[in-house]
Amino acid sequence: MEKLQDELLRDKAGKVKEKVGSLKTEIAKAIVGQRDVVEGVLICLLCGGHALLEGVPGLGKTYLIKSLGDVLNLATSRIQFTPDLMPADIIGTNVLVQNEESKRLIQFQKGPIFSHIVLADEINRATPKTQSALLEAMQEQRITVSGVQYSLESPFVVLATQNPIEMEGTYPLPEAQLDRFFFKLTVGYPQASELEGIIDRTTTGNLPVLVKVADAETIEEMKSLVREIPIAGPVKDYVIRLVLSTHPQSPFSTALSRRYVKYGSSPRGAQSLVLAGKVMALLDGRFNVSFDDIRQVIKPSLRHRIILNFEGEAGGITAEEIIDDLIRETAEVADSALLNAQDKNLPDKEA
Amino acid sequence: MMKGRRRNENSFPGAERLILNAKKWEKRRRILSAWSLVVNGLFLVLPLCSLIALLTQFFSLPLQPALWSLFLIPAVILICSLLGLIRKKDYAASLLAADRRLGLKERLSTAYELLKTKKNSPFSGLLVSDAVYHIEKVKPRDVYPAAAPKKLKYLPIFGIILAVLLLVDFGLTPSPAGAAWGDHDLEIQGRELEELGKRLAARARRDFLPETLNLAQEMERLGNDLQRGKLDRDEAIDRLSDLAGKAEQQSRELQRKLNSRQEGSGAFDQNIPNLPLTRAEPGTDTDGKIIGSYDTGQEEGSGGGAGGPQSEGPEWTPENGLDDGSGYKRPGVDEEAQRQQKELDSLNEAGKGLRNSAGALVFDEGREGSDSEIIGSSEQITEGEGDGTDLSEQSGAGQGRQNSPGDPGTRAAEDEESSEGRYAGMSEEEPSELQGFEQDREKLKGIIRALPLAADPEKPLNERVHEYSRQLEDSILKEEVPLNYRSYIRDYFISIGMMENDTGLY
Repeated sequence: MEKLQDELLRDKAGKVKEKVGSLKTEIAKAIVGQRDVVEGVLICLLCGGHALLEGVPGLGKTYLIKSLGDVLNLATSRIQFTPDLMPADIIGTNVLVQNEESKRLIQFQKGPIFSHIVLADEINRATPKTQSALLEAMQEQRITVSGVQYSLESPFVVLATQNPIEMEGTYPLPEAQLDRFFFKLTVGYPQASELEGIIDRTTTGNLPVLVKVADAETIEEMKSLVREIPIAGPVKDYVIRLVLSTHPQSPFSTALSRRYVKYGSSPRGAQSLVLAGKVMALLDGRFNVSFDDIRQVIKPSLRHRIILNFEGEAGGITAEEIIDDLIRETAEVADSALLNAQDKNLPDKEA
Repeated sequence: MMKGRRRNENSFPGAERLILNAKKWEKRRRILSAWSLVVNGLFLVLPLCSLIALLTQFFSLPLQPALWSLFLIPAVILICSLLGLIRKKDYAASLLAADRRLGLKERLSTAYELLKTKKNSPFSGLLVSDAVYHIEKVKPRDVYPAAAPKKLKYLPIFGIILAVLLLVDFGLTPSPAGAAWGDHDLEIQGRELEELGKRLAARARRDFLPETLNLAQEMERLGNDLQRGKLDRDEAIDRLSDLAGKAEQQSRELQRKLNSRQEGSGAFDQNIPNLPLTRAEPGTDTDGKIIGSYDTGQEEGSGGGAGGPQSEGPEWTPENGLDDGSGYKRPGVDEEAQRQQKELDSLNEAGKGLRNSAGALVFDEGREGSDSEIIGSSEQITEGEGDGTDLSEQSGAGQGRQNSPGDPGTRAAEDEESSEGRYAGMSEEEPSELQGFEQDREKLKGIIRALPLAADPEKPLNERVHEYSRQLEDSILKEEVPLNYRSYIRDYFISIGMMENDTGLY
């Protein structure tokens, strides 16, 4: 009986790997390159998290998310954030309508947020008030309008984009709200060969047709399976030490983090590492999380959760450099006695 | 969310193989750990022992490097081996090491953790079977290869250094004072002087010879200093000469007293000390001291009894002395004379020994001036009241010879001849006693008559010699033997091995 169950489980795990492979293949028909970004987005989807994509204009961020919506049989909506966007434009509002019996009723008109995949384009262009409306939905997965709560359907994933070069007239997301994003993915400039592929696909009449690979139910099954993947004590310990090492006052901190980091990662960073590690294990055909899995997902998980101090910013230090240093300095297996050291004087990041 | 059924350890196929492998790897891990600890321990101990051995090459330290090495090296090996072998078993750590070494990405450690902690995960069975599949052909040496510790290559070098330092004496220890004149000579003289001092001190305690005791103790200290190399040659000769002079002076004074008594200046005008009734026993609080006080208040020519404790009890007599019950006794004339004679003999012996030692050192260096200095002091003694104890030419002569005791008369004639030969080399400035000895044959006859007859010939030789020695001791104390001849006679019989010296040797 147990053996049968194990076999079923093995099949399911195999299907997850297969499905994700299929998704990547389909998306690759539309998006040239950007494999890490595509994988990151899929990981967010399987973990129930949200992703922030940052890159210069024209790299296909919006197209990627649109393609994702095409391959998944999921409702997709797009919100173009502008400075005049209001919260009601995102979550919806009550409107006065007249029914068939000519009675006037107040009816709630759902906003674009009521979708499975929400593309929040240039999120840093909207006002903080508008941003907070979206972020509340991201955290709670429901919204409240006039005292009435409306739940958002699962899977619900927000894929936000922002442009790092246009800071004029923008409202950068505050750190507390950045923390709500599961991953921050950096969309890089394509290579020469990739650029050639982009030209070929977009300047000819042969537009790719994407096939739907998965639906909501499949996504939910995969999400629940991911959470069942076990993680061993030493790997968990490694995650804890990595997250704690981002804090300058922590005994696990490195010289670089002590010098350049103002605030370190919150526990959400540890959650992100573990969940993403589980997905990586499944995609690798394993049923356990390894140290390598954690190292593969640490940058998208923590880069937006490490706040640099003035010296770091003035010196041009990036969060990636801090993370590279953490990986170098943090041993996979450490003395367990150090784990019992109390971390004192850790700052409260949320104002 | 999926819920996994809680399964016990036995329900996972292959779980026992996983655990068995974990145990094998853990055992190998502990063995290698012990090996590494031993190497590290020897890496510390061998240089330490080498350092101790090196220090003993330069300094005279109380440390025994060979002993320390023989103790420390096996102790370190044993302790480090035990530490490595008895350390706490950690199968999880072994499996984690296997994961990392074999690139299994924590499959084994996760499976083991699920088995042991019984976490409820639907993937437990899959993980265990997956782990077992991967370790089917893995051997313990694949997980823990026997790599030689890096420090091992230094151990032979340290071992060779230690062996060289232990086995080879580079002679780097600085020599004590006196080495330029031969450590060995000073050491020999010091040893002989110390032995002589001990012998004299024992005799002095036994026979109540206070001056001899003080001198003997000084001789012991000087002998000790010479052996330890605290004095160089010049200092040694000076000290020996000083002590010899002191001995000679004391002998002279004592001889004067004995002579005045002999010349019949009165039996009661001698300062007879008040001696305790009990003699100091070795090892007691009074060892090394002459207990009692010396009552020298008696005036010359005064009658007996003065100076002692005034009581209405018994009076002092020349024969019996006085025992007034106060714990002290004033000896009689004869007893006091005997004691003084013993003191004189001891002082003479001490002086002779000191002069011999000084002469040996002077002879080694060839200092002519000191020769005359030393010899001159002995001539001075012999010229004055001297007791003619300059028998350095005859020192040791005949000692050890155990002649059969024969007819005293024959022996007396033989002695006379030998005596003539003994003193043949003496200058005209010989002591008057020796000249008197040549001339006063009556006294000689009396001496001969006083000597004992042969011991029982039926007894074994050693018993005969021992018996004859005792008889000689008693004979010398007889009144027929003049006081000032006793030392000569005694020396003679000691030199021919017929009398025991103070150490009980012939």
